[in-house]
Amino acid sequence: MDPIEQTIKDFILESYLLGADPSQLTADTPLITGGILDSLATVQLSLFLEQHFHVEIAPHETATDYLDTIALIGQLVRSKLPS
Amino acid sequence: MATVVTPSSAPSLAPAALRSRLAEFRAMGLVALQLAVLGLVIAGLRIESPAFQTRVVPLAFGGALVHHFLPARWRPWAFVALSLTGFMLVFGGVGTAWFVLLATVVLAWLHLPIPYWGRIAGWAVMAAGLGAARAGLFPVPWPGSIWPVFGSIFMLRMIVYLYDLRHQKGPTDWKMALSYFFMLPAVVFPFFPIVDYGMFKRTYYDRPALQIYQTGIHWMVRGLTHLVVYRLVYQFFTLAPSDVTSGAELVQFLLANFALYLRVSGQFHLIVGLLHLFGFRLPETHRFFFVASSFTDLWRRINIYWKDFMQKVFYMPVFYPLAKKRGEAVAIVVGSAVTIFATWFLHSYQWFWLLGRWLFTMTDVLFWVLLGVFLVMDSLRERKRGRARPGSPETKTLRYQVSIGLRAIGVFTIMCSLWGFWNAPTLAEGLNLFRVDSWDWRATGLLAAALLAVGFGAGLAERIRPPAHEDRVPPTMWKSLRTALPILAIWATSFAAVGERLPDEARGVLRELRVAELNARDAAQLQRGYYEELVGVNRFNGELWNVYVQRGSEWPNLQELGGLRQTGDLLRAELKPFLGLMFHGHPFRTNAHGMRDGAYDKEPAAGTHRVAVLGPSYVMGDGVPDGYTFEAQLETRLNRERPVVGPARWEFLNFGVSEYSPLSNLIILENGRVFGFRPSVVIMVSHPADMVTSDHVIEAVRKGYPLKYDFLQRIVDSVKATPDLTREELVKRLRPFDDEILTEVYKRMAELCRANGTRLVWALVPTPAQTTTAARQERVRQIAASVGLERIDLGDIYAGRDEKALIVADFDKHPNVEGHQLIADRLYTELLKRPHLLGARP
Repeated sequence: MDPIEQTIKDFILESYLLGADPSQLTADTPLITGGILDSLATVQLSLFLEQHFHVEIAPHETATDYLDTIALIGQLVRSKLPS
Repeated sequence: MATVVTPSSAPSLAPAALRSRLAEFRAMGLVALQLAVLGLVIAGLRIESPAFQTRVVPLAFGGALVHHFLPARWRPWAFVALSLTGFMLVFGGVGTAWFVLLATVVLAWLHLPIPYWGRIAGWAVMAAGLGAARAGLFPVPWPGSIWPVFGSIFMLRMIVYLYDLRHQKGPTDWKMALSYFFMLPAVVFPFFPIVDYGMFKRTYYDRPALQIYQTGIHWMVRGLTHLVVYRLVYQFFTLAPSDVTSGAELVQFLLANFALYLRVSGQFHLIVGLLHLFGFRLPETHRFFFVASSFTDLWRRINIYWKDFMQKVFYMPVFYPLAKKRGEAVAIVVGSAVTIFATWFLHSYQWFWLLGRWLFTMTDVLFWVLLGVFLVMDSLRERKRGRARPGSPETKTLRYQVSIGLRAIGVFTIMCSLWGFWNAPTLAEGLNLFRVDSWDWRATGLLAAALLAVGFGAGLAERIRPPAHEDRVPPTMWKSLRTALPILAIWATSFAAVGERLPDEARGVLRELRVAELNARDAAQLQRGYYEELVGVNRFNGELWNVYVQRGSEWPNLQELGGLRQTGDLLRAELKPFLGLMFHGHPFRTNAHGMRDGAYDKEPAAGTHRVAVLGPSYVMGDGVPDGYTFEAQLETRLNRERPVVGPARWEFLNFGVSEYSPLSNLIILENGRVFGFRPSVVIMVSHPADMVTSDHVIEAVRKGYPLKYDFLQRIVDSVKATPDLTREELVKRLRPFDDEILTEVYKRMAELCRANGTRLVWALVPTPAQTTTAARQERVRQIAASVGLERIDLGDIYAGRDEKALIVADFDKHPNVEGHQLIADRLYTELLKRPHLLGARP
């Protein structure tokens, strides 16, 4: 996991899976389709991404296509950061 | 699209690659084995439509094995080709051509190089035009049978596609777009999960191929299990709302009504499992929904694809900006209101495209409003208190599991009540359901058992909760057998070969496993819920059902279906007991005694007037569902209207069997089969074809069966009719004896009935649009008169009627339901003129 993905993983573990085994949460663990992130958590995660990485997340980017795994979220954030 | 991960992409066959290739072949062999068992069970248990069992399943399962070994770049195109082949097999060339043409026009328009909103406006105009045609406002050149499938593909899936099109980056991936619209199972499942297009593309072969296939097989087995349980609930536990008078019946009604949703989850598991075989690693569609512990939890577990669709297209676009501007609480309330409104509207929209009419009932509106309120309340509660996520340590504690169990009991109770109310046609009927006359210990016991099961199940589900997407490891022999054996066992026990040693009650249950439909008359009394209407194509679109049944070319007789037992003597055959078949498009059951009829004890109850009805295939009810034969209708009407004073009850026993002749009827009178049931009256149904009873004798001679009766032996000996003669020669020699054979048969039947203290009635019942001559009909009348039989003559029954409207099909001249109704009504009138035949007290 790169630093961006690690930051996202830490946020999810602290916010929604407190006390869970971190090794169980991998870059490919389904977050929305796996029931870890519901709509409210998805929005909270999006707001976290906006604040932490100073990027803007559009409403359509709150869908599973962009946020279902840590790998996908990392990809979304990286696509918005200045290269 | 993700990189394709598959062992088959090995570039060369070096020793290691060769070993890997061999392992792949071995694993695919196990996949093939499991698919073969699944196919066998789907056909054996007659899961869903005949088109699914006999066309789509062999095509999909066979196609999947070939598809796997194709180069990765060809696979999506092969899937499209296979899907179109499926459309061809079901809808034929013309229907498929219309699909392709409509799809081409719609997709070409949506990809025109004009602004997005312009394309949407054009699409809206097209959709409105098609909607007007669907509503029947103007005629269209394509067959009506394609509407439900067309609506399912282009009117609902299109919303997701249009949403994604707006945010699409890069060129269109046509192979994936076409795969998305022409998903093979869609051709036989018009009520289809709303697959997310982004997910569809993203998860395509994103795991090792064999792992995806094994997951698919596992889900199909799960779907099959849901459908079998659904069938048992449907056959044994559903009640008509009018039957609900006690507390126990109310509890049974509500539980069974909610449990019927298993058909939706079963179908969706089959659909998504089947798509896995082609690399589409889609997520679960349902997840332990009966044990949801809150309304938001239920929303996340039941029809998950719908939840994702709503969340993506309606909820998040409203919720996310509002949450940023006005706070989460306001966003939850507004977002949920918009989502529930969209759900209500799109359920009605879906109903329109599948059924051709809009759904608008007060119970439907109230259901969604109430569910919306519960959802908002739960969402606000979760926002305040948070919730335990799958995998968090809290979920592993006993305290949490007990609390989940208790909450699941509450949600389940409310949902059962809401569901029962939702499916009532009117508000008054919905409320009336809950007014019961009595509440006894049975009601309490049933309710407590159900709720305990839900509570325990919820806690257990939490304890053993598997990961959301159960990636299965590639198949091993043991795992393949573990998948295949239980379903094979269900299938095998449902057949007489295994079940013959079981008690009658158990055999009755096993019979129901094989029959997809209720006794049609009972079914008509049942309440039809939203999903029950949409998942049963035979109910909502007869034209499409005919396409699925493919009448004309697939019309096996009872012998071919295994419904007859060959007796190896002059009787030739008899119906097997506990049959549960779909015969000529309808459920066909026999009772413990091998009669196409309900359950009867051998000894009639006191005060019962019993009538035995003997005759050929149309007496048996070839071409009509259980409960619609004229004898069944007659029995029901007599017991309902009670037109004469005397018996407490009338029972009409159906001894009709395909191809029975008057000679067969004589045999079953003589061997005690009929008199064993102690009938007061025997009605021998006669047809003009009785005049060729010699055909029966000819067949017996050719097969070398002992002729049993001296008069037959004498006739056969007199013309030297031997098995070595051709059929034509036997016809030439024996046909002249038709009058003599029939006269003797009638005489002997009359004697047997007299000896057993039973009245014999000869009833001439011709079939509609028959080709036999009037002369034959007249001759059969004369013979019956000459023997002195009591006669009922329905020779003129079809006078002034369009006889073609009374037959099953152009190629099958058996009377249809309307024909049987006509015969029953006329027989009813004739029997009333002869009250002694009804056991009336003088």
